[in-house]
Amino acid sequence: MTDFAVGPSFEIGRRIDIRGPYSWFVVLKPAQDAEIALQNFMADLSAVLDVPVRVVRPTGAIIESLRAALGEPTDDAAVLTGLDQADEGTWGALDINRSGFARPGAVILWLSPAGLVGLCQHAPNLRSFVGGSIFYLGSHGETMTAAERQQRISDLEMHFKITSAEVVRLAESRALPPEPHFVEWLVLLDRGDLV
Amino acid sequence: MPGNAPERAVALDGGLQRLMESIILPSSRDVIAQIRTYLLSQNADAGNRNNVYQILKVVHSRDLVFITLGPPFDKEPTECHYYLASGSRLSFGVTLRESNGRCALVAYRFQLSLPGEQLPSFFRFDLNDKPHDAPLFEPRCHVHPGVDDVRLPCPPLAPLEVLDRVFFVIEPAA
Repeated sequence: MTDFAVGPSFEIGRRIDIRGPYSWFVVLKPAQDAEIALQNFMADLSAVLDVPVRVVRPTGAIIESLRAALGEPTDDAAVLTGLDQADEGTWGALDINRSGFARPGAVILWLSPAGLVGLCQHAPNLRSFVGGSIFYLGSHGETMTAAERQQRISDLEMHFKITSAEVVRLAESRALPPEPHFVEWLVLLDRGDLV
Repeated sequence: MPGNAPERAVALDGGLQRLMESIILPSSRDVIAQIRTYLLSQNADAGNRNNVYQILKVVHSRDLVFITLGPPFDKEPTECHYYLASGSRLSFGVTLRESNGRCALVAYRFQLSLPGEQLPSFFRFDLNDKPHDAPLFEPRCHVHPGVDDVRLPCPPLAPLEVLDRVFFVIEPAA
């Protein structure tokens, strides 16, 4: 389970774009904060593919539910969730009925490693659809660290030759001049309430 | 000063304010994804010189989100800048206010410093968070054509619209 590529959403999206229509993928979700990771992944994928991306979570009669959800619309990208607990029978039914799920828009199976095992063991034809397109979702690391925030605050203090405390005081008295840097400064100080 | 120039500037500033209020952006998550994807695509087309994942940063405070790349002040080349194929370097800071899954512009600063001895040596697109007392000299939204003390009014732009001007208008001429 360690031989798959780790890719940030952009790279996965590019692979999806290159593979073209009627393609299936597996993205292995992180063990923690999976829901947030899913929302971020969908935003990134939509930006890369320039199509809507939606979650499809089959319920009840799974085959009919999935066929209906994937059948309208067919040109967006669909991320299938909720299959981690699928048993042998469910995977087998999905495998047998796979032709009914064919669509031009990409289908991405959002699975845990355990879910991937189920796919591989009980749905060989779907597994063949996926082929080598199995990825671990990498992270972006875009959130500014505390050290980075402090460095920027120091840069601002040095440039304007005033302290952060003075900036807050001026903001509270509505006396800050109009300037994007002061907005940044207040956000870095977690005083967005003063903007 | 001939013919009410300050009054005309105030009226123009009011128009810029109304334009700004008409710009409705998607969720901050989507805006960040769009900016990152835009830069990654341009970077891929130009030889992957920049580590976009490392230099693009985000900070949240209350209902504000600050999206930034590069240093707060462009004084010299750094490894935090985004470098275009011509050698120009880009840095920016964009602040948005998010409500009900949509974002409004609060302020931004995009600076593109051109390489070598080119003139103008930089372009800076600024959106201030509030009007200035003298909008003739500092419109709410303006562009600096290579001079810090010259601010020419410019319509408020969505972040991708500014990047379009950077990559498809200024860069080809650099």
